[in-house]
Amino acid sequence: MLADETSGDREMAVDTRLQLALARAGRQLDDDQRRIVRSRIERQLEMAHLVRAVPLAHDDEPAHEFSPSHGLAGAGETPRL
Amino acid sequence: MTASADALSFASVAELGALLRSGDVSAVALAELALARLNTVGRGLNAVVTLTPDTALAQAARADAELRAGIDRGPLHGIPYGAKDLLAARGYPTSWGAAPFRNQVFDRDAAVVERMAAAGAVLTGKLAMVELAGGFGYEQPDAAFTGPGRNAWDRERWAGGSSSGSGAAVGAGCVPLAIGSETWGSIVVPAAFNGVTGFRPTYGLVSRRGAMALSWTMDKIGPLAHTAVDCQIALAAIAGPDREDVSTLGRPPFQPDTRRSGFRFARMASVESGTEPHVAAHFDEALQVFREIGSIDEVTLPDLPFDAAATIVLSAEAAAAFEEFVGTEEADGLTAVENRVGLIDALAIPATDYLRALRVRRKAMQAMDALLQGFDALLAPGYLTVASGIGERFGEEQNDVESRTIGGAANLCGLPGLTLPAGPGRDGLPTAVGLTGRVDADAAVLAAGAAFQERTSWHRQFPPVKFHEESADTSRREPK
Repeated sequence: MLADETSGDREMAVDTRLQLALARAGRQLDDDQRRIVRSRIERQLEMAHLVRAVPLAHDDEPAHEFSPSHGLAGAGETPRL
Repeated sequence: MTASADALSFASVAELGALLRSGDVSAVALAELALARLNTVGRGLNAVVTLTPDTALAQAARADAELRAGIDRGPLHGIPYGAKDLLAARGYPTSWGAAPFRNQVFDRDAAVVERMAAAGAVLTGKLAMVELAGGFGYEQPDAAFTGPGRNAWDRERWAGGSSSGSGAAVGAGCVPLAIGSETWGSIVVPAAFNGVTGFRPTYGLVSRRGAMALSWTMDKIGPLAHTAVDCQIALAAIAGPDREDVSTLGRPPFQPDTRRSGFRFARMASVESGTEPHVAAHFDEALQVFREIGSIDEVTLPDLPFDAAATIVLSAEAAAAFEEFVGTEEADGLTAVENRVGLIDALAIPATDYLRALRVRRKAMQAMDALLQGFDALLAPGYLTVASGIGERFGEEQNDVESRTIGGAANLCGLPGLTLPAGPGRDGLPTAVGLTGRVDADAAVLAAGAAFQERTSWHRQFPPVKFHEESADTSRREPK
């Protein structure tokens, strides 16, 4: 069980993510803005909790595609923008 | 030009093509009409960012000259269209709907814009959208520097998002065809709200080179038009592999499915719970029509957290795509106050959460494919309500609506989806029916939509939008 899945640690998990997010954004927010960001972090944690409830085997791979051929000349050589 | 402007404004791509080839109308005349309507009706709905008259008139003149010389590029030859303003068009601003990017200009067309030009289509304008494709967490319609997207049927209602301008411009008869994009709901919702037909292709079927990236693994580009056949025509032009977009699938050229009966449909009763009564009634009527062209079996959605996984994937990828912008003073230039701190929260999503969501995504893809195996499409209401008020906040109710639709599952799994008009609901506003197919079932879904529209006339009902004025006349007009 992860720390932010337990109700006792939930507030701490929200606060920790909030501090990290603010540090990464590198700016001060007013109270209203902090409230918006905090509420969104709470929602992110709810979503993560739902996703963590799905049983996964050790070798269940993520659905993202990596192909060494994507690095070959002409393949994606121009960024989309 | 012998046909009336009103009739031309609401004609389908197929109908306009016939008029062009018979010489009853010229591509230049159609381009001028579209430019004029976008400039008046379209701007009145906040559906337009930039008109492209120089390109439009040059492309239209070339289309006319080619037809006179016996050169026919196919069903889009000489047809005016608009492109959502997240698609680059060389030399014109590509604002992504956001004030901080309103002067951004690219020196190369997006792949879709290139392909539309090669098919002979005429670019008449860049259409409005929710700023940054809605990825920053907007909570009300006033979230674009062009103003809130107004609905083609009622200016005091929302056009939906994020392809607001694409939906409203087609719905109000400014252009017969628009290109939009969807990460989660951005084609199907504006199509439903504006009473037009919208198609979200299988992920990777259409190149996104030159399009704003919101979520690399969820972004799709697709058409909005009056009919499923028109969407099919557009898809045939824009689909196909692109070496410069590694997400594109190496599929053979798109081939339309010509069936008009013998389909197998699925429906989920649970998805319809909580629909508005008018929406539910029209969905039931639509089911009767679908029974005329195929069988319908009831299925149960797999018990997986589709919306939660989609939220994490979208948020983490959007935060990465806009990492240099999120939380900066530049972001204070966004229109919606809540967007100015958008995605700051997502900067703290752990990589393990993102990867777990992608691991669950694979389970979801397998479960949805197993569910849809043997079916041409899954039927559901296109949206559970009619368009909301232009000044209304979305609130919890909106989130609840989202959780009761299959949009999260479909977009997480990259499935094609079609939205069809299904008749007027509350306050005379459009309702819609939605079809979701398996991966690569794009042609079957469009064929089912075309068969539905051969038996119904909802897609032939248009709002009372006049050329220069808001009309009090609420009667609907049929194209001649």
